[in-house]
Amino acid sequence: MKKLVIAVSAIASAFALTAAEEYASVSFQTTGPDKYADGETVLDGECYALVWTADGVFEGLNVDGTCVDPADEVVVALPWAKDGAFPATQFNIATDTKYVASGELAIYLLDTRKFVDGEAKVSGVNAEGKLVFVNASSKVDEAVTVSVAGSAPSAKAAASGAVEGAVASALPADVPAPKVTGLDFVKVNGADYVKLTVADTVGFANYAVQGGDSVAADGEVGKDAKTGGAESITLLYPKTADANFFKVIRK
Amino acid sequence: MKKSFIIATVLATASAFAGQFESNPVGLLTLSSIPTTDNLKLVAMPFDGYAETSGSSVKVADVLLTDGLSENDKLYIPTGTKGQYNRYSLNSSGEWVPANVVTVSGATITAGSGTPPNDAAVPRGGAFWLETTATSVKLLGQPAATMEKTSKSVSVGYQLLAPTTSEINVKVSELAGAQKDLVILANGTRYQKTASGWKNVATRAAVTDADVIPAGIGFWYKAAAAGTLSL
Repeated sequence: MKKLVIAVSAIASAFALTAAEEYASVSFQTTGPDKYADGETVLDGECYALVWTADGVFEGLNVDGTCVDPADEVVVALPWAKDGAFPATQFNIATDTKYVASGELAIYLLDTRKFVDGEAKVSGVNAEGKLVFVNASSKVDEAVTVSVAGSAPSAKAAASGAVEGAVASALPADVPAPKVTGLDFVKVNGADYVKLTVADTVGFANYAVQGGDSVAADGEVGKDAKTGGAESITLLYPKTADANFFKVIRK
Repeated sequence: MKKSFIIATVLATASAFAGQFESNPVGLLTLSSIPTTDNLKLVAMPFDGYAETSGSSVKVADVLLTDGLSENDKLYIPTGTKGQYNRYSLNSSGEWVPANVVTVSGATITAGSGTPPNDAAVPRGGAFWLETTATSVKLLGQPAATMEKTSKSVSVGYQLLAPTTSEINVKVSELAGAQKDLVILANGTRYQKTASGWKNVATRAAVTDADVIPAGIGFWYKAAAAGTLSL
């Protein structure tokens, strides 16, 4: 159904729909490099989503890719990321839809990474084009209201810029806090690490260790990350003189 | 203006959520200046075990790192009977092996009958003796849920006590105590509560903020009257 009302194209390519009177067009791009909340550059194939909100307030996503506020809508999400940015893309939207008639449209960078032994892979969308795992979302630039002036439905707005602060996707209320059940010191390739054994993890959240010099352990977040779900997972954190206390957080 | 408000609201929500998702903290406490007498160090138990509930006894083997210790180092854990300890010996595999029950009187250690339980355990806020030539001791475990002192009852006579957190040094001046109560550190330093407050027994000087019982270090407390201390 969405394909009937939304058409997407790279701006550089030939695109017939922009000329059609029944479509309004909106273009987006980011200059890059876009960053995840942990400071890593966005991976190729990462998803961006065109999100419509009736009231201009996006309440965020659940970890399964659905909207926290059912009134919000992920119009389309695709693995657009290339070379750490959202390439110039034009959306052509049928003017007789709510997306043009009301509300706001905005682009969000999604974090769909899952981690195995610190290696990240984007989970993207499934065969039906649905998001299956969203760790966080970050708004790209300003929301844009698509307007239709008079009888000439040809409004065009462009937005470009950087990605703002990420908002962690909402987890189900019954997800437990992770529990550290063991702490050991190990050597990996000659380097000293603290190894935490962690229980009570779930398969739809990523975990990492944060260390510090006090019980608050509010210093740097370690590079090692894993998606939970197993009976226990282990996470490594560099052993330094400045980090004597550790906790597991959601990455 | 409206947009600023919206963004601030969303971020605040995310931050609150992240806080709820944190695990229990765990940590490492390195004690490098424990007062020592005849290679005996009085060590505090500032941690809970990982799998234990707060306040329950902690297996010493779970929290005391044996790196840096030597085979045949000894561990003495109070049994609850005056002057009596369960003694453990460190084997070549780094395991604490039950040795025997001993009675200590002054500098004399007498082996008694009975065998200590397999798992040497001490509650958070308790203390144990470690006989070793090592210059530092490392403890790792789960700090108390809150970094606040805990009330601890004391009864008339001697008892081994320890600060209950891994971060708070206990100022001697802040101990409630009754007149004639004594604090005895393992290096022999003594403090006594007098009508005008705590004093160093040797110098008769009133204690200052520098007179502290560091986290991770145990001490003797001789109570002249039953009471409660905040440790």
